[in-house]
Amino acid sequence: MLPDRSISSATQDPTQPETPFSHTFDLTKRLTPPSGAKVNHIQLSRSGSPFQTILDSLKSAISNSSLSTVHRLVIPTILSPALYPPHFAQPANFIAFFHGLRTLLRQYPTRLTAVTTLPLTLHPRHSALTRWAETLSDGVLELTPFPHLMDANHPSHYATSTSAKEEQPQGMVKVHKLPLVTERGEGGAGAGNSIGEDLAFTLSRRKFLVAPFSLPPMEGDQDAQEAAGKVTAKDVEF
Amino acid sequence: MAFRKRNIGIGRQPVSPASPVTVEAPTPVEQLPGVRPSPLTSHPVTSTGAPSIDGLLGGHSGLALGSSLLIGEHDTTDFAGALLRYYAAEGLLQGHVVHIVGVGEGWVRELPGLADARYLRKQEQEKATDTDKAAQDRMKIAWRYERLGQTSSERGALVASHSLAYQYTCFFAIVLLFILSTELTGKYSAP
Repeated sequence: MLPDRSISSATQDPTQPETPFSHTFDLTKRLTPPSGAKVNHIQLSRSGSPFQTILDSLKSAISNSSLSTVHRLVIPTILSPALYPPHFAQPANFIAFFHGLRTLLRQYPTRLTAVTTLPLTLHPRHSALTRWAETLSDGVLELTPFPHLMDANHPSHYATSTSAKEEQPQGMVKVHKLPLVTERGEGGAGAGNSIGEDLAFTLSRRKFLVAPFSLPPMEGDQDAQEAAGKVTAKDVEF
Repeated sequence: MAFRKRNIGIGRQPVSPASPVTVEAPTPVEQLPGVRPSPLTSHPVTSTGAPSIDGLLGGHSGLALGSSLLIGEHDTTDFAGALLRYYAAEGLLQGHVVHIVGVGEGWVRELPGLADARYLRKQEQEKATDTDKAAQDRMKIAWRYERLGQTSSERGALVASHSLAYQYTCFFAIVLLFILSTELTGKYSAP
């Protein structure tokens, strides 16, 4: 029997109710914010230097709060025309904003994190703006949903049971860049490195799952499937 | 050297108390809510709200404080938006200040709620049976990766078991060669 070496059991204080590091969410439910939840809505200014209001608001909020508060910046669909007027996409404004955000993150290295989503259909990865945004961000993920799984006529919807359908990947995740790459290479030696690996995601009601992606055997190719499954005694003889 | 005064560091500047840069008092980062040290580098990390995304982030099992993440998404689906909602909801539950840019106040009302206790219990049970199985097989190789994210630990175990199988194969091949060679030498060295 192996001794229990997990750190969490040793450092846990039994008298205090444990707050988990991450919670499990249910997309069909609505969150009732806990009392004292602090939300700061930052509106986009229609005039002047457009992104500056975001940085100013963020900076004043951080410098006016106590040293033990952690801030999260949430930017949904940046540069989406539904929310952002066209002059936000001018390089002078957009790149300056990412520079300013990076400065703030370095200025408060233990109190701020930021997550931005970007519609890649409007601003593809080879465009200059996206390239700049990726360069100035610490981590970059790319989600590519499978288009064919979205239509209900796909044969796999009939063929598989409900449990198997839940596991069916809905798209690919690519990791292009990660914050804090160690000297030993990303994620330590070998196992667990996610850059360059084929990863697929599945979003179900209660979890977002990322798993290594592998193509299933081609349908109708019965001979190949059987041949792959069996190993004859002849093969292992040496 | 005789001409240099001892016990004084080379190139050290006298620190004037009236310097304009005031150093903030160091905060015990580990005691911040929703923050824990990375198992790799001890850098403070916080959760993105999705454990599998935490597991992707370079083995730190969380988003390092002071860093930013850009999630690009193709097509018109809103998977990245779901991730963003997890991130915001997790922040609210941990008592972080959440700044939301550009969208109306309705966005906060659409954040996902906590999964019910029954589901969590089921998940715990599944985890427990998994560890039982592992203990039975005496193949608990990846105990060091316990604190890492779910996906990375699973993959770690997978890789570890693969390499173990490879080692076994090599070992058997060597033993076989050894037996063969002793038999051969026995045959020919016998008078």
